[in-house]
Amino acid sequence: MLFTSFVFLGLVLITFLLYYIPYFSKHQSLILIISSLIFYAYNQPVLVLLLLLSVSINIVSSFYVTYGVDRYKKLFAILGVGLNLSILIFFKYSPLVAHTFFKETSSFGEFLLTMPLPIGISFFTFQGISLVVDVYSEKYFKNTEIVPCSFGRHAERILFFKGFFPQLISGPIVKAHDFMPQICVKYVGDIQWEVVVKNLIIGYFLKMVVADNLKDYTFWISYPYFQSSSTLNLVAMLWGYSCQIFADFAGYSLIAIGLAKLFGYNFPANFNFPYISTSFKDFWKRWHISLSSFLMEYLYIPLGGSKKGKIRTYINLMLVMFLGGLWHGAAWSYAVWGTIHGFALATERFFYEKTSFKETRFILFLKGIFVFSFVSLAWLLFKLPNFEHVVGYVRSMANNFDIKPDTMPLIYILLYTLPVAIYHILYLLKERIVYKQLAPYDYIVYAFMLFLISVNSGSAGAFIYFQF
Amino acid sequence: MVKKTLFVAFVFFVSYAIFVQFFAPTWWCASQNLWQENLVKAQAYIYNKDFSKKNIIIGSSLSERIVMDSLPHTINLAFGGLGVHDGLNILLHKEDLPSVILIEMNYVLRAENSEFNAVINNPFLELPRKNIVALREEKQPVAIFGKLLNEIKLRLQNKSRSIDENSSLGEDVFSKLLQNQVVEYSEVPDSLFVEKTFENMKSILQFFESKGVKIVFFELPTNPELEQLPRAVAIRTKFYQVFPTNRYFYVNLNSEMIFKTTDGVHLSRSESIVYTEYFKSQLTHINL
Repeated sequence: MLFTSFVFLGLVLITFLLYYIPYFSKHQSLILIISSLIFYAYNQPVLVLLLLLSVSINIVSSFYVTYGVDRYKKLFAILGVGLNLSILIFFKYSPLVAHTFFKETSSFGEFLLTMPLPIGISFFTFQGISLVVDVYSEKYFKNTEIVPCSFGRHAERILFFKGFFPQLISGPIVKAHDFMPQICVKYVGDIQWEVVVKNLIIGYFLKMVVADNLKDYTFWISYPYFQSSSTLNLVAMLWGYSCQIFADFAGYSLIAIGLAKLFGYNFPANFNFPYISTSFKDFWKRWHISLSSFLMEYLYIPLGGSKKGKIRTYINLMLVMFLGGLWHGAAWSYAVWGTIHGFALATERFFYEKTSFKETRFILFLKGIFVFSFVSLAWLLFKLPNFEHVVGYVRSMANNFDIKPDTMPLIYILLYTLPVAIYHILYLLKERIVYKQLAPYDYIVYAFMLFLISVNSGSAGAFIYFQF
Repeated sequence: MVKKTLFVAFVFFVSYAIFVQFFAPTWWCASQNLWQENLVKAQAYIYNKDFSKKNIIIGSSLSERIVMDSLPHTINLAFGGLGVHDGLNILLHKEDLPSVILIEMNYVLRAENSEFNAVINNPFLELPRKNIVALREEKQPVAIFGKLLNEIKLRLQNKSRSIDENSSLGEDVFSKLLQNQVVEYSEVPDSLFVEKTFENMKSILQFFESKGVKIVFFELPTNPELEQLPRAVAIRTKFYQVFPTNRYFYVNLNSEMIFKTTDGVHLSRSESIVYTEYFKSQLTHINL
């Protein structure tokens, strides 16, 4: 079920109405659980069973970590994390294993290829891992504060945490220590309508007007179409795809944040104007923040982070980014993408340690251009999973100067990427007096975005990150 | 802030809807890209009552290049990137039936595009789009703004609007594209898939025939290297088997006419004109 479908709007409306009826206030979690299961089951009902299996693993492991026999608590924690990862690896990476290690005619390879890929598995699995680790480590809370002694009540809370529909299938990856303490009765009078509406309008605008329109132009990045495009069109499409993937994912995250807020829950921000980054380190603090912070907290730091010497730090960076890349998809191109970013982070760290110079505005500007160009080129690995096609695209960019550019796509790519550019520029200008003077009239901008959502949406496309 | 936003958005929408419905000039329409062009074409057909009892061409981007000026009473409902089955789906959902359906053979195996059909047949938007013109694809303000920018650019460059559709891509690029087509055409299509496709099409066409609609098939010329490759031969053979020539009229390829294409399959503008004349002359045999 897409956030942009009428069926989804109907589901939210009904859920909202039931949720805030005072008579049902004690059953708010249950109402959201039922809505979430309907949401998840809408396209593939049978995969709800997998979601429930994943939730069950987390319910049992976190409960027995809290109330089980002391000497087995670590075992339950390890089993919980291990089983979570096993489900993810089995369902998501079976085709990759089959293609890489088994012959086409192998019956086991064929069996692996038939494994369905449950939507959102990468997201809810990581949430489950954060739950088990947080409950075991008690770093943020005493586990008895979060895990009730009633198994039934605990099961309901965990099913709610993992299954809550705004973040169920494309994040943000909400950590247990951020979400669980928020679970309580919510009241309609406490809804921060301005925050809800702003997030929903920007989210739907980025998704429906920007991303859904841009996808019709970036479609031509695919093989073999790029072979007959001019250099200018190829560069424009790459720029367009960078903006599209941001608008699609950031838009979705903002919708998720707005929807969660509607029901009284706070999700962390998932994007913080990533394309103004002037370093790769900065980029990964601004892009898909929930994933990078998850990897930092639950993988990089346990591996030793930067505390075990320089070589180990570089290895940790590369390994975390390699796995982070592979998380995005069951194809080696994603692993390559992650590794490239890991290499960039390691190299940047190396140079920062060796050199120091004054970073003037011009230097920062150049660095920003470099980081953006690198990131954009790397996105090609998302759009063209076949590495030969990526090379072909870059080669076409270098060679197709003699093909006449097609102007209309250039115009539309510029028009639809303009909001993304403006969005980032406004962030840079937010301390300026002009910005503060115009801020009280921001409702006109939001109204215009809402107007364009109604009359200028592209055809609905699935969120790019659904495939992860 | 919320109330102000909603109110101003409402004012924007109503103003635009009134403008489009009553005051917009005829050129106030645009399609941004191939996908939207298809949607605009489909919506123009669906919401226009004047298109009943016409001859309808359905097919892919190959048929889109047929020059319609010389074919009166004929509407081209061929869609670039889509195919026959998308066209049939639209015809099925419209109450008024055409007189004749002219069906392209070349890309008959291209499956129906579910996303396209979902947009065209969205039950929640059907009635609003029928009554509020501003909600149709061709009235998107950004699309129209982009078209205006392009017009300004062309005027500044002192150029005409039409793209030189005869412009060649260069030998190297053409060879690569033709080679891609040769690879695709050399593959024998899956027989079960072919069977299912034709079975489905037959049942739909039988419905149209039962309502008095005439069916005509036509094959567009492609690069001679492709015409006798397995895919083209398999499609042709299956057509004659399921829709025999003694019952159905075919506008077949003329072996004496060799056409140049831009990429192996699409006719250039000048070649399209020549082909349309041939196409028209063939249709006179059945009084069309």
